[in-house]
Amino acid sequence: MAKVLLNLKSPIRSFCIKNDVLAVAQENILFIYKYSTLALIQTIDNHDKTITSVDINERTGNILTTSEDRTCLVLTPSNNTYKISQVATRFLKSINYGKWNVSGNKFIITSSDMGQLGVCYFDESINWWISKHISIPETQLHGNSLKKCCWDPENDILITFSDNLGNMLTVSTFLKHLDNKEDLKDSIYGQKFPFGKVLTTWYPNDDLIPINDMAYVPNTRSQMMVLVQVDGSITLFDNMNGKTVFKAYDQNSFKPFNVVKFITDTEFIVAGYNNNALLYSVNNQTLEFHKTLTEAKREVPMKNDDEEQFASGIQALKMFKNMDSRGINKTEVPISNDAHVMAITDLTVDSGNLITSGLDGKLIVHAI
Amino acid sequence: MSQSLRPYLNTVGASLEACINLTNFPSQEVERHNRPEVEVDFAKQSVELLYKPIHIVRNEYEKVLIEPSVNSMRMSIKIKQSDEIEKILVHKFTNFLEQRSEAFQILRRKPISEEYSISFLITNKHTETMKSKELVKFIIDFMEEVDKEISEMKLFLNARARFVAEQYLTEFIY
Repeated sequence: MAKVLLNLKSPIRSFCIKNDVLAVAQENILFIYKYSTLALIQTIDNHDKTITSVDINERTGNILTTSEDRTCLVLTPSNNTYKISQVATRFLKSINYGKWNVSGNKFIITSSDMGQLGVCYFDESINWWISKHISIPETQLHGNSLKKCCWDPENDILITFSDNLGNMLTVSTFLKHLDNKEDLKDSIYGQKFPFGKVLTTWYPNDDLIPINDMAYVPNTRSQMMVLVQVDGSITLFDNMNGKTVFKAYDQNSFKPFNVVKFITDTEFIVAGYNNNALLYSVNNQTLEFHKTLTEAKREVPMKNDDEEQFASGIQALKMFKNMDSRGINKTEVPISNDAHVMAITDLTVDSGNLITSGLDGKLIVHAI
Repeated sequence: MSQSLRPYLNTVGASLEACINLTNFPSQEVERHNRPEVEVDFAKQSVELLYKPIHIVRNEYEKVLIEPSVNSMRMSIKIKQSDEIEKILVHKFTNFLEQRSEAFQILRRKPISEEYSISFLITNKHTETMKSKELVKFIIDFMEEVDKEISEMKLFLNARARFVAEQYLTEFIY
């Protein structure tokens, strides 16, 4: 059973739900709602170009937005509204993605500016959010635009990201004054983690195909990852040894996916250009398809009675048939309002429900 | 659709479906710009943002070129022109459409080269406001209809020429 939460006029590129707060990015405007009542709390229009991503930190309640206008904002909750702080990113090109770490003391931003990453944190001495850049050497990174990234759930310090040439890297964002060395003690990626150190660099599947999103498989000591690529593949990848363990495709559409998210230790959801969210699981180093979580519109062929009626030999009737059947060769069920008709851009899981956003401007909640 | 044309159009449709998954992609060369990468000047293009072009050739008179990229796709069609009359008709017809390209939204004002009769440019802005499937269907319908249209125009032209010739020559009958 699906229910439409929001039906906006422009595409929803990103959204986030945490602590009963819903943040929705639509073009250059951010809408902040109270999730339980869908009451609008605040509208942020400080960006003058498209907002590329939104993230809320669960511990602090801070909202992060990144935009094509080279800026990113941190919104801090205070007295039922949000105080806006701009981050000094020093990037010259669009910021494509931003993500808080779990503790909420820093966040990562990826940009189109010479393949640079920014690790941002609040500097109390100057009372400002600042960005420390990680510039990957040209021998290890070949594309200029970085796309999505994900924090290593085991330690909250290592980050994995990819560029637009399908090159996937894991780097350290260790900051002496913020991070604890003990968190990395059991890491399989080595012993020393200076800021910006490249730990792994791979071309998954050796095919130079851009990676749309990635997620760590829980409880695998940060070794296994699931990637979705532009060719429509879903790959189970061993990030330690750089090996593809299993590769699967959506056999119904072969369309690429935009987003992948784990909902349990083994089950994950992918969604993208097939307008549907699909449930997969990792089982014995293979990927298994379980079910489609969103209902697709079905086409119903014209009834036989109608065909027979028109199939009589009367010429005039045939002519009318041809005139009337223009554009209605396939009788379609009226488009159900609770299904996406365009690509799904983002998804999240909240109290057992799946919430998806799409280019059609809809935010839909589905029961899993 | 005629049986001989069906495999050609099916191939074009499937190729378009595969290439039309466009995404928003801000420029990595020029700050605060978001432009169709397939239309960027050759010297300034980022090679990694352009995907492999697809050529679909039915015969020497009919072919299609699809140039996909990360945020845009350009499709060029060579419409069947087997004789001089068809060449003139296709030129006039495509010219007529291209002059009204604003109304068509995805139509390019000029074909990419003289080799092709007409070009379409689909960007991520189009796929965000129109359904991708319907866009593909529109292009396939266009390809199907344009051949019919040109054939009908040619028949009409020949009929009119015959009528004019008959009228003119009756003057010389004694």
